[in-house]
Amino acid sequence: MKSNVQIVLMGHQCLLIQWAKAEDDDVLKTLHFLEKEYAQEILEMVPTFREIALFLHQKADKKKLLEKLKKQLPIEEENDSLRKLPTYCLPVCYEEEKGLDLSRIAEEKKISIQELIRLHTEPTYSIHFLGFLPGFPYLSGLDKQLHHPRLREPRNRIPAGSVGIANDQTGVYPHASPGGWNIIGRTPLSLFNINHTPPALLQAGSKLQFFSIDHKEYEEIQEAVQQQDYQIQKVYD
Amino acid sequence: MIEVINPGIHTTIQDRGRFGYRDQGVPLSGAMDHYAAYLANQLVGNSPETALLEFVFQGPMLFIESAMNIAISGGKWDVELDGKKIDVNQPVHLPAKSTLKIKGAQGGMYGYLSVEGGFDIPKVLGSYSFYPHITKQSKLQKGDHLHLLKSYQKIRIQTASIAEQKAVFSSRELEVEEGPEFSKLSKEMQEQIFQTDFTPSKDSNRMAFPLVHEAALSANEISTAPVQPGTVQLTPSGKTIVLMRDAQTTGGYARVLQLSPMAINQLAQKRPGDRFRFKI
Repeated sequence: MKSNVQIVLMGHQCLLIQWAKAEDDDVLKTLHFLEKEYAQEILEMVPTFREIALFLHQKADKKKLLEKLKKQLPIEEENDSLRKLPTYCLPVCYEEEKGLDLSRIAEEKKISIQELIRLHTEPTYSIHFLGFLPGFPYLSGLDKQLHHPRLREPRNRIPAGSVGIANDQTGVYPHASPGGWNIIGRTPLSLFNINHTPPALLQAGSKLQFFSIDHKEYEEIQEAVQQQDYQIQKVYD
Repeated sequence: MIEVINPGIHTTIQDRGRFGYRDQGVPLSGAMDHYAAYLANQLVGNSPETALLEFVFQGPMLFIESAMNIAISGGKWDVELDGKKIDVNQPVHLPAKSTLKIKGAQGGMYGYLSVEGGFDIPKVLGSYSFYPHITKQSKLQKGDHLHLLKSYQKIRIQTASIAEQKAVFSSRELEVEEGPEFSKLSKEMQEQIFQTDFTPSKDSNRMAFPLVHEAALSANEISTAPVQPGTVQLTPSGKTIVLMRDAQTTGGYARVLQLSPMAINQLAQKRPGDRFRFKI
């Protein structure tokens, strides 16, 4: 096994694959491979930026799987299905009332609010994994100009759908929660629904783009979401 | 049917856990002490998957509307049925229109009440375990009605009982393995962690048991990585935290140790002030 990737034990019926440095598709390709080849042994997996935790079924032979994987990793073959994953378009209302830190961030960075919105909506972000809260996406691709430290004192309650920035990360709170992120807007979409399969709106491996809406459109979309009548826009390459 | 007269400090429905959704950011949840929960179910002839009530520190007061067989396990719980003390760790018949009061425990933190046949409650994402924003309720409230799946049919002769699980409660050593970041600690710190007395902080809850100790431990943050119940995190400022059943699925602190499945059950029953060490 090449030294960039290793696999270690992580407790009862759990293996951990770790990359010293993960290239774009390394984690995703490996997830797809494992899902296909070891569905019998693997109960579920949790990917992060540079790791995958494999949680095995009670009866799976952990040591045997470990030996097999040591020989099979890293996965080199290209996986065409990866290219079929969409870019989600997430509507965000970047207005004062919904973006409590919007003016302050713009001011501290000495840019206009329009410029801030442009910098946030221009990139196509990669969704690496979900964690922290059900449905919360870990994204990469935030423009360096928008990097900003967390609030010194977290707020007790950030409303559901809030879009924020913390250091080099941007993300969306799936439900109301205390938090220290800088809030620049809010999406009317629901990021997590127990009645959907899968329950999280955004999935690892897909991409995300934010687009700006005004408060009137926000209300219209919110109404549609409540009526179960809104389909998130997806763009395929 | 059971009506909740007083919910107690924090009473929830739990089962073996919510599997299959961790990659959606959904924690495992499930009983804090799986062993005690398993015993409670076994005592009334339930399958191990059956959901049951979990309570902590001070239990609920329940109006038992219809006759049923139950069992209570976990710590040395002080329980009264219509004002008279009843034994725990064995099946008990509750007559219709009686009142069950689960008070405190002498030893242990989490307790379980199983009902023969189980509860008629909705499964959400494959599990009955309460969790905020997943199940409708995050905990039981005054006035809640819990319906049973099986209507009671005959008087059962009680002969089964289990010896109080002394080993679980008196163990002063928790079995662990090295975590992924253990090797990043200095040799001194690696040795010191096994020579330190720990005790759960008063802020301990279903998400995590922060530990109180006097050692000088510290580890750098890591890029957000997968974690699980039983993962022992060490922060740059020296906080040592054991993640428990409702813990988030990913985290940015060094994972220095991993508790064995039984060690997690044992830790769940430790109260602030109960001292223990890690044993590799």
